Amino acid sequence: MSSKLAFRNVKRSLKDYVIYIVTVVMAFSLIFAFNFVSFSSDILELSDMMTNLKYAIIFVSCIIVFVIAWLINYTMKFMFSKRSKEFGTYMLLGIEKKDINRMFLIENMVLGFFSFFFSFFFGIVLGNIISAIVMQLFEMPYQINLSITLAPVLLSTLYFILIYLFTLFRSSRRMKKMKIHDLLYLEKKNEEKIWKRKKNRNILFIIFVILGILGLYFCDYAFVISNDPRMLSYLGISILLLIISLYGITFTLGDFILAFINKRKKIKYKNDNLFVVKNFEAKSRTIGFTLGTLSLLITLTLVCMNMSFIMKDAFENNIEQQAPYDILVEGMYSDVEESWTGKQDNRKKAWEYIDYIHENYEIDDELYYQILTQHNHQVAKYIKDIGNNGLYDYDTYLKVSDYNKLLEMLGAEPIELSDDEYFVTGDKTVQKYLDEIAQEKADIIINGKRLSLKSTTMENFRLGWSTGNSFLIVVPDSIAKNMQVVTELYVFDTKEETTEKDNSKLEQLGYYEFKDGDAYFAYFPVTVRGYYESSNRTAMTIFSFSLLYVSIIFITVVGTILSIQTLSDSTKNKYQYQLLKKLGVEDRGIYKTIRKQVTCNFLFPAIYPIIISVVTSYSINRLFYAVTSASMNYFTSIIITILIFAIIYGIYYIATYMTFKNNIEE
Amino acid sequence: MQKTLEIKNLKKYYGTKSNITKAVNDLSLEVEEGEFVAIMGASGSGKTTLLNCISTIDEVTSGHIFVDGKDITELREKDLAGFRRENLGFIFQDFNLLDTLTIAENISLALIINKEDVNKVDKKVVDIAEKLGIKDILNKYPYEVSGGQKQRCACARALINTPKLILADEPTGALDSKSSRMLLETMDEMNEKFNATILMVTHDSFSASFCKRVLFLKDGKIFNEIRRGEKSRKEFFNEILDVLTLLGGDVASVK
Repeated sequence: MSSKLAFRNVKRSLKDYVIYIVTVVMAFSLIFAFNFVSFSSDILELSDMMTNLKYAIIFVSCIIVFVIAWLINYTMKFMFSKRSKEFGTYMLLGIEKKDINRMFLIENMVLGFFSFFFSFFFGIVLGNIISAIVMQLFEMPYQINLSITLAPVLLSTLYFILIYLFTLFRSSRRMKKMKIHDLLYLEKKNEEKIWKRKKNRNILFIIFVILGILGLYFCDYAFVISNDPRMLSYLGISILLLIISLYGITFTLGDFILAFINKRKKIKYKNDNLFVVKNFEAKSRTIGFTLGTLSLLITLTLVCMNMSFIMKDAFENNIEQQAPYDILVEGMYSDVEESWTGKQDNRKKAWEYIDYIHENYEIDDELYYQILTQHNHQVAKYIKDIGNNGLYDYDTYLKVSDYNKLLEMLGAEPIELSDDEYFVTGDKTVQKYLDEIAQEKADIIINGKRLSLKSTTMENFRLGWSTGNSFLIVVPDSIAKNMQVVTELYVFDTKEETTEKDNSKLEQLGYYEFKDGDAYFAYFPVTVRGYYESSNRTAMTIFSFSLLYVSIIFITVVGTILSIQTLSDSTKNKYQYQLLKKLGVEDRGIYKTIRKQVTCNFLFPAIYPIIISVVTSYSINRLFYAVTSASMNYFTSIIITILIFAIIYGIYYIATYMTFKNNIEE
Repeated sequence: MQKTLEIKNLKKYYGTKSNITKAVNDLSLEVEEGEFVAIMGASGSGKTTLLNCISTIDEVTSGHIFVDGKDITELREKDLAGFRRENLGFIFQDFNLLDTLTIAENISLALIINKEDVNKVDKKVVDIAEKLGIKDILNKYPYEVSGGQKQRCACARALINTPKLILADEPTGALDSKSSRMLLETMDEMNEKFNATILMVTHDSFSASFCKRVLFLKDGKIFNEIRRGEKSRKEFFNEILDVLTLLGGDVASVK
């Protein structure tokens, strides 16, 4: 009997369940897609470390299971309240509560399985798109793969079962608590106030704002002292303060605005302000906790997505910084390291090593060059914390011909330098000092000749050039005489792209046994681009994709819940809007009010998170500033993040507004 | 005659300690088998609360309600559904039909729930529909038929199980006067032909005039009671109006 009714209901009320089905399908498509990618053999074969992606995705999925369970529980609660009267009627007719409960559970399970089945197909398509993007990152060809491996299917099924066990349990408890009277009159019941006292709420609002500011300050301070062990405790306090402030502001803002408007009659009685604000205030007081959680999720979404972009840029930039050339051999010889007794021997070995590379690789282009010094501090004196910014605390020079060749190998434009000029190139960490030098236009004297500053740049600088120094002074070839060699380097541009395997081979060859009494090992540090590409791209995939996974799921959850929330309002508000119509408000005016109400609902939980994410991204930037590319700054990354968020959020907003309008018009 | 319904000292209070609403305050009444009783009163007089208590939708604060000799206030929650199924029929102001089922299915639901012989269901539904004049719309959905038809469908559903007591809460509340009249005549017929015991809550004198007895409620207590006896409906209607006028204001305050 109950199963028959359940199936009938599913069939007949499919329209009501659209939101539910779309929610479950989207959530599980995403879960399945990311699991599919992390277990895909194509992806795993990209590099040795790629197995970590699997664990990262599993770890992230554990968090996501909680959020999705909350979402599905919420949707079920919504469906339950929508059909409360129907259930009440069943009970009135004498159907036992446990039978009604069973019927509702069967209905939900049927729909759940149905949606789960569909999400497999969407998941495979989505998974293929994500795989294609990853393969694109690794510059590998991608073939569409429709075969399914068992592991992701089993894992997704496990998540599904866990989520459904939880939600069905919750739902059946909800039903057990319900009395027939509650069911029949649920529609007419007002939501209960969470916060009963009204008096001190304005003061509380201000306190929560102050807590929020403190939280942001601590967060910033934590990144200022990022090397200090106290950093973690500051960050912990900051996160706690921000969470309290997020919830607190959500609870109190409605009343604060109302109090503000009540005192200003001009705003209060202007157009439909009173109607919209009252609605909004009722909302923040009754479902403040849900709204607070939504704000929290939006904050996490924005921070995660922003981090995802920063990480992507940082890892890409790291390849260019550390391994700009296919093979880079350093540490061949040095004048400045006086304690190094075997350096002539080392030089001989090094040339044998270079010969080996010549024999075994097809070379397109190459350069042998030296970093020079006279132990001056003419430029170095401007770099305040020089100890932190490089290996050497004195000026290091590079011949302009070498510099131009290095640039040419990267495909960049060479510079022109006349005989009485010098040029400084550095990375982002010394940017402000370079700006100072550029402003002062200080001359330097080398070998008795005065050189004037041509210009400075951060563009094109590569850490790999100077074995870790953050700046280099480019001087005319004719000047670079009587100088000591800081280090000798050799760069190659090979015809074929290097790989991880080349790295292990060359690294092994770089070792040689140096006999000086006891056995002693030395080696030439060698940087193979293939290895850096592979490891950085792997790390990038793992970090960026896990973070992106979290943020996309969170947006989906937030969008769906807001949409459900607003639409359930639409049925309740129908009478209010009809009343407005009867009081003589035109259709256009009604649409405008609806638009205002929906906009309020969507904007309210997003504004504070946007403020938090912009400020924290400024703080996080303190940590990532040095490792991201010159074109990347915190502002662009957060703007892109907010834009992407706004687009997805906007789709939900528009869909909700349209449905809301239809509901009222019906 | 057998008493179908007997209420003894029923009290139903709402609210908190400091602010008590006595919706039903020490009320006693008896309804005999085959009676058609109306309960009238202004809004807030406790009509619906009383009905909700009898239908086990609400719990009583104190007192006893006997249906066919059985005290329903003593029933445990899990037995309530069975009790309603076997003893009560309901007709509501807003019909309470299930939108996903056709009219025929809505009527048959009461039978199916009571585990009636499957082969007899269809025949019973058609029979009752014929009597209530809704045979033509059996295969339509609730949203496709008029309010009067919906309410007669609810009547059919209430009647099909031959319950001991039919409870009606403002059944004409959402109907126009023509449909109201038709429905009341139907209910009158149900009472006359099938000997159904009906307890109807209404604030409409015209509806009440169809009954055999009218009870007037004020502040949760029975204020007055009149019987139709051999009077014509018109006379009875006027009598009801007279009582209502009295009910409207406190007699003492009109000195």
